[in-house]
Amino acid sequence: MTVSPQKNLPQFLITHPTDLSKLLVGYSCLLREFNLSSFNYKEIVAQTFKQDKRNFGLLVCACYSNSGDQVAIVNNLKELVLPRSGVKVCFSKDNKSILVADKAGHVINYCIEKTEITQKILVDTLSTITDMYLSVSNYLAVCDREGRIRVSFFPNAYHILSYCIGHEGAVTCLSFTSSGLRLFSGSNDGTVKLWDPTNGKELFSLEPFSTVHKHKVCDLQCSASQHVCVCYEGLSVAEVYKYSLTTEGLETLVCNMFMCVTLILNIFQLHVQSINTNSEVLQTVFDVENTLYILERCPPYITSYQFLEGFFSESSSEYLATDCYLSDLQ
Amino acid sequence: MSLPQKRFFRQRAHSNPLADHSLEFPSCPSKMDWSEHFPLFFTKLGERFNDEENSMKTKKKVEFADVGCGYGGLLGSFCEVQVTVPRADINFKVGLADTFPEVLSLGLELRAKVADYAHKKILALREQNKSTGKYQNISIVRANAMKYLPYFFEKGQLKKIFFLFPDPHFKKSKHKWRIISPHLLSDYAYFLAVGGLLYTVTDVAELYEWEIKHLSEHPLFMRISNESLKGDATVDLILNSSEESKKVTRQGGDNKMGEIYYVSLFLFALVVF
Repeated sequence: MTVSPQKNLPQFLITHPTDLSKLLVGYSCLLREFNLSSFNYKEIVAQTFKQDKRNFGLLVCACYSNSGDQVAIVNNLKELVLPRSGVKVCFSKDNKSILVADKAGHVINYCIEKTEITQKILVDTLSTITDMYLSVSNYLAVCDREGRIRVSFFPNAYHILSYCIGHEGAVTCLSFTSSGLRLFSGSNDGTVKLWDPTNGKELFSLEPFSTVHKHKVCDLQCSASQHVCVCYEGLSVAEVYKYSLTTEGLETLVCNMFMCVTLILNIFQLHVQSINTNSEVLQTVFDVENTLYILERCPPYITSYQFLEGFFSESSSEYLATDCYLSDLQ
Repeated sequence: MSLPQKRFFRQRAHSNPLADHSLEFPSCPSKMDWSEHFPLFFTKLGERFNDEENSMKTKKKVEFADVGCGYGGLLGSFCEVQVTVPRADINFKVGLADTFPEVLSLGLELRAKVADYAHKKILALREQNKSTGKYQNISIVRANAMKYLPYFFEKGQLKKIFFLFPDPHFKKSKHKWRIISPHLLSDYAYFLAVGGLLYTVTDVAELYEWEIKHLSEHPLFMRISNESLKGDATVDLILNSSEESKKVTRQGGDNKMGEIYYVSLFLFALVVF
């Protein structure tokens, strides 16, 4: 039985938590770990995958464990590695359990310490989960299609810390800052909001493209250097913002009307850099050294940007991610 | 204004709580315009009361929530229907409106016609009692309590939350529609202040077992025995004033009253972790 060559395009990017030279690129049907220093890649296949690679199914998401030696993969066939129609996966801090958020609104905790995997439902929102984030401060944030963001403790997720309510459309992406004390969220209503997860207060709201047409935020990510990169659905530009938090005056927040270029509030200071790409930006991700990777829909697919002298400038990455054909696998 | 009649508000008994009903809800609790519900206690959003005494009122918040309030029996019953009160030493008061006149109580109901009926009833009661100013502290909102509670209430806002005669949803595939479930309990615990009380009553034994099981297993709730609540006005209200309880009384007969009702009460306790 011949397999017609299917275009296998990069769908998502994951950076390694400690090793700068490794980058995980997920295609529709396979997962490759790129070694940036030696310019080659290695394919990752889970032990329990069936022999026939054509039944791999479509990859949905993956993540590194915090030590970087394990990778969790979720695909759309329910019987494989993690049997859930998963949306997002992440490891807990101690690497002893994997959290999977699925389309039915559950967050399942798979305990992988022993060979026998035990599972427990941690959270059951009643609508589709769109993103999930576990912060270093052990807060679990889950956002859903209704526009709610539920921040709870982990592992005792029955204790809800706050509900961050304010978005008027589905919340599509979440990112805690590196300290775990602030939460960014992007939504289909075109806004990016900053929250204090301990009390659910909305600290700041940004809506850069409100004039003509509302653009849905499709991905955002915070870096360890206090930058946040936001990409919008259908737009070939990624916006990078820098924020700084002063330690005083957090309770007496005053929010004014904003302009898209430079804003100075008594708490935040934002600089905007727009990065233009050739085609629609799908995803952005930072690595530990604040190199920014942007995944776009058309070649060259992945470009990386180093942070030098206050700006992100492009560095060459031609060897990464060309589209590959399914027949390559045989 | 005359009280509405139920025969003009017929509605199917069940309603899918997971469906996307066309419900209205504020974008966040602070943006909710409570003056539509409690006109004597709130001004329109953004305005302020002029005098000192009234400005204290705007600091009030809804403290009692009746989830699945149905026709509004618990909030404020009809005045002309008299229910036999088993003990003569209690002054019979009409629902939450009368028993707790200083507290704002809100009913939440998903079914459109039922919510409409209850809303019209409250408006009629207010109109009829203009001289005494009663029934200004109760209201109903058509909302889905399973999904949209965070849009109405803030953390720790509620002091009491009522689940009176909830739909049992017997089939296993419908268990996820039950209003008491482990994950919804985490939500209710969030909206209840520490020390707040959760009341349930049902006449279905299986549902009672289910509720007790999940409430007892939930780390944030602690059971209070029914004995220690004898004489609590709220328990009497629950047993006597909601429409369902009256129906059960009619059908069951007085001598079976003790067996029909299962009341359970849980306290939202402090968590130490």
